[in-house]
Amino acid sequence: MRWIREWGNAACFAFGWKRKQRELDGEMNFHLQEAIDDLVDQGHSPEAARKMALREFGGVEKMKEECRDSWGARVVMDLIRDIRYSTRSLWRSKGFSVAVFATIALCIGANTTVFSVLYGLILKPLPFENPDRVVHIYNAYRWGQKLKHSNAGWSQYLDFNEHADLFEGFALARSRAKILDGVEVNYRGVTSEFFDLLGAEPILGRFFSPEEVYPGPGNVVVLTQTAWENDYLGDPDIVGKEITFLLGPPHTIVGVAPRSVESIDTAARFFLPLTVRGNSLKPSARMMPDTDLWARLKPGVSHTQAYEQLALVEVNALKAHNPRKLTWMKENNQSTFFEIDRPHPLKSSLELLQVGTLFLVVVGCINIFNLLLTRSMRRCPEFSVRYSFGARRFTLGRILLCESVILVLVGLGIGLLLAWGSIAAINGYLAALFPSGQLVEISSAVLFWTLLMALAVALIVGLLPLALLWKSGRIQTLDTSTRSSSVSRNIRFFSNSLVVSQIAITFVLLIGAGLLTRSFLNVLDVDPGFDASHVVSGHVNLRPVYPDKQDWVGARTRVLETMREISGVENVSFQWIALIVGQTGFINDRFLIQGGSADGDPEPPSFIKFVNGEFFATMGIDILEGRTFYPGVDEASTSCIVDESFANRYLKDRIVLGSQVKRDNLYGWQEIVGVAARVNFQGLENRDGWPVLYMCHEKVSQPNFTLLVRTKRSTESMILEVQSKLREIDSRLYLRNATSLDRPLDNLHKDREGMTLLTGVFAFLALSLSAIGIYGIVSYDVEQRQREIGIRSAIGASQLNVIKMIIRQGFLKTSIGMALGLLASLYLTRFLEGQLFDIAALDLATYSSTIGFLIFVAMTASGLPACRAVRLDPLESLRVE
Amino acid sequence: MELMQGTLDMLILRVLSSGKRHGYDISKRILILSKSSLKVGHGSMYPALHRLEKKGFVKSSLGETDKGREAKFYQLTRHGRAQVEVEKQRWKDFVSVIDSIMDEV
Repeated sequence: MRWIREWGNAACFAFGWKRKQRELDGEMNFHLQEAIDDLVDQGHSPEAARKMALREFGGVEKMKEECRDSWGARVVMDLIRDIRYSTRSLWRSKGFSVAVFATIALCIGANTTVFSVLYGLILKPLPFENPDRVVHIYNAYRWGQKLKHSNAGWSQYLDFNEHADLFEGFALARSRAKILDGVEVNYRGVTSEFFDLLGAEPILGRFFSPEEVYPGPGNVVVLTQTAWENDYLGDPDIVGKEITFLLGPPHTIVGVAPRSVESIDTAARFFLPLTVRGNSLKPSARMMPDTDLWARLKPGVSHTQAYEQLALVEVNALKAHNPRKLTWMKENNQSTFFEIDRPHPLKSSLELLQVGTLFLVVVGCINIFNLLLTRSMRRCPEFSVRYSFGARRFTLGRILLCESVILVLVGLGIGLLLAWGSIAAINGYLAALFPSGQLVEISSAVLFWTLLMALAVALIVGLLPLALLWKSGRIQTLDTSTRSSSVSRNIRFFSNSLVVSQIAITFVLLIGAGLLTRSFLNVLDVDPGFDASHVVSGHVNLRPVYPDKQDWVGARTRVLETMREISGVENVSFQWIALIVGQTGFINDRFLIQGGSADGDPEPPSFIKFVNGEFFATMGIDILEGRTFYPGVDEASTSCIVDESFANRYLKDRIVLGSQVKRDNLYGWQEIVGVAARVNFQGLENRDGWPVLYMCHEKVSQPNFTLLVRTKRSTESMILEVQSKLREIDSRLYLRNATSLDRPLDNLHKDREGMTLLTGVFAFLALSLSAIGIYGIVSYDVEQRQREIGIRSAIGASQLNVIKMIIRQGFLKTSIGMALGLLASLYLTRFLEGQLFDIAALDLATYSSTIGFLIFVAMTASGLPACRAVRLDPLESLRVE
Repeated sequence: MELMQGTLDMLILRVLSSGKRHGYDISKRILILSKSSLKVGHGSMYPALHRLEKKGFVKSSLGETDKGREAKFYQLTRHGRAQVEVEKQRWKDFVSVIDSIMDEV
C-alpha cells in the first residue's frame, strides 16, 4: 500500500500544500512566540506566559485544519485516505475482489464488443449529408419460400432517372479489379451522379461528366483519398497525371474523392466511369451482374412511397419491353420487385445478441449485489463501531462507494481489453465474409456510454447493501445477531431464482457449444478428396493478346508448357473458367444415360467440370478405374470421366467404363473412360451433393481458363514466378485472383468456425457468471448460518459434515437449474439441427459430459465458501453473538 | 463582547488598510482599536486571513520583523482596498436598518 501514500504525497506536492503547510506552522509558531515575549515583558514567568498564549490562541490544530480547508485540500486528502483504505480492504479479500472483477470484466467486455459490432455494421449512419435519404435499391424476387436479391441494371437506371420523380437522383456503381504495376487493384465503376448523390465534394480536381460515362469511353480516373495519400504520397499536382493499367489506353487522373465515399466499398482504391456495352444496353435487360443502384430520396419521401413508384415504373417498362416476363411473374405469383436498403445479413442475429448481453449485465449486477451484500454483512460490526464513534450514513456510504468505484473501474479496464481483443478477432471473420465491408472499432461514443453505465452500476450496487442494512437497523444498534439482518425474503427469492435460471441458460449454451464444436471437428475430419495444400490457381485471359479464336488452344498449350519450366513444378493443368472450390457458381446440367439411370430419373443432374487430362494429377485426385484423358486421343465429343458418386448412383451394378452418357445434341453420346475419386468441390459439408462429370477440354478453344500448378515449393513464391513467366510470354498476360487453393477451402468454414467460436464464448461467459452466482449465494447462506455452523461444530459435527451440508445447498440450486436446462435443450437443439454435422441433436456423450462438468463447477463454487466456513473456529463464530 | 458572526474579515481588512502587518500585529491592533473590549480568539485570525488571501483581497509575503524574526506579512491588494469601502458601506447600511427597527420598537 506504500504506493498510495507516495502517490498522495506527490499530489500534495503538486498542489504546493507541503510548502504551505510549512509556512503555516512557521506563522503560528511566530505568533505564539511574539505573544509569549509580550507576556514575559509584562512580568509573567515564561511557563505561565506560554500557557496563557496558547489559551488566547485557541486550538492550534483546529485552526490549522480550518486553514487547510480554505485551500480546498480536505476533499482531496479525504479521497486519498478513502482510496487507500478501500484498496487495502479489497486486497485483504482477494477472492471477493477477483469474483467481482471477473463479473464486471465479462459483462462489459461482451457488451462493448456486441454493441460495437452492432453500431459499426448497422446503426452507424453513412458519413454523408442527410444519410437517411441515401438508399440502396435491390431487385428482389421470390424463390420458393425465400426472398432472393439481385442487382440493378443500366436500363432500370435510365427508366428510373426519367420517370421516378420522388428521387433526387440515381447512380450505378460496380466493383471490379484492374491490374496496375503487376498488382490486382479493386476499383468501382460509377455513373456521373454517384458522388453528387452522396453529397461528396472532390478534394482535388473534379468528378466524372455524364459523357465520360456514356457514350464514353472516358479514359479518366478519380482516386480515393487513401490511394492518393498512400500510393501517391498526397501529391498536390496529381490532377492531370496519367495512370496506365495493364490493358487499355492510359487514364488521366481528374480528381481525388474524399474519404467518406470509401465507406461504401472499403476495398476500392479508385473510381472509373462505369462502362456498359452489348446486351446490357437493351431496354429488356433489367439487371447487370454485381452492379449496385444507389439513390437519394427527396426530403419527406417515405420508403413505401419510393417503393411504390419504382414498382410502377418497372411494370410500365416491362409492359413495353418484356411482356413475357410480366406474364411469367403473374403466373408464378411474384409481385415484389424491389427492396430498399436490404438489412445487413447479420442484423437480426446481432440484435438478438445485444439483448442477450444486456441480460448478462442484469445477471452480473445481481451477482455483484449478492457478493457485496455478503461482504457488507461481514463488515457490519466494523460499521457499527464506526457509527458509534460518530461516522454518519454519508461517511459509511462514501467508503462503500469508493470500494465499488474501484471495483468497477478495474473491471472496466479488464473488460475493455477483452472487448478490444475480441473485436480484433471479429474483424478477422468480417474481412473473410464481407471483403469490401467496413471493419468494426470501439467508438468514443460507445466508450462514453459504457463508462456512464458502469458508474451507475457502481452507485447502485455500492449503496444498496448499506441501505438495506441501515433499514434493518443492524448498524445503528450494534446488534450482531444474524436473524434481524436478513434481507427481505422477496429479494432472496429473486436472486435464488436468478441463479437457477443462470444455470439453466448455461446448460443450454454448453450443450449448444458442445454440439457445434464436435460438428466443426467432424467437418474438419471430412476428406475433401483432393490435396489443396500445394496448388496455385488463377485465371488467365488470352483475348487481349490473341484476338483470333484459332490461336487460343495453341496459346494455352504454350502457357502450360512454359509453366513446366519453373523448377519445383510437379504438374500443370487447366480447367475452363469456374470456381475450383466454393459454394456457388458451378455449372450443372442433366444427362441422358444409355440404358437409363439406376435411380429412375430419366435425366439425372450432375455438376460439370471442363478439364484436361493432367487435372487429376495436379489436384491429387485418384483415378479409381480406367484412365485419364490423353491429349490428342480424347475430345469433348467422345470421352468423359465420372466420379465415384456418379457411378454409384446412376450406374449402379453396371460396368461403368464404356457406358455412354449424353448432355445434349451438340456433343452427342460420350463414352466414360475413367472413374475418379469423389471430390467435395462445394466444401466439406456438401459431401452428399450432386455427382461430378468431367468433360474433356483438351482441344476446346476458349480464351479464358483457370491455371492450376502443383508445386513442392511455397505457394507464395510460386505465384510470383508464374506471374513473371506469363509476362515473359507476353507483357499483357496476368494471373488474376491468384491464390493458394487451401485458402478458399478454409474460407468455406469461416461461418461455421465463427458460429462455433461465438457459442463457445457465450457458454464460457454464462458458465463464469453462474459459477460466481453460486459462489455469491452460498457465501451469503454461510454468512447467515455462521452461528448454526458454530454450534454444530461445537457439539461435534465433523468438518466434512459441515462442508457436505453447505454443498448440498448449492447442489440443490444446480440440480433445479440443470433440470430446467435439460428440458430447454431437448426442445431448443432441434433448431440447431441444420448446423449439426455427423452428430445427433441428442448426443449422449455431449449431454453427460455437460452435466458432469456443470456439477463439478457448481461443487467448486460452493465448496470455496464451505471450506472457509469450517476453517472458522467455532468459538470465534459463537462469540460474534 | 463577543465578535459578531462574519465581521472578522471586515475588521482585518480595515486594519490592513493602514499598511503591511503580520498576523500577531493584526490581532493586537484589533484589540487596541476596540479598546480591549472585543474578545477574538487569536487563532481564528488565521483561517480568516487564508480565506481573504484565497479571495484575492489580501496578499502575503515573507519578511523580517523589527526584532529580526522571520514572519509572514499581509497587505491589501487593489481589489482588497476597494473591498474595504464596500464592507464599510454595507456595515453602515446594516447598522442603520437595524437601528431603525430597534428605534421603532
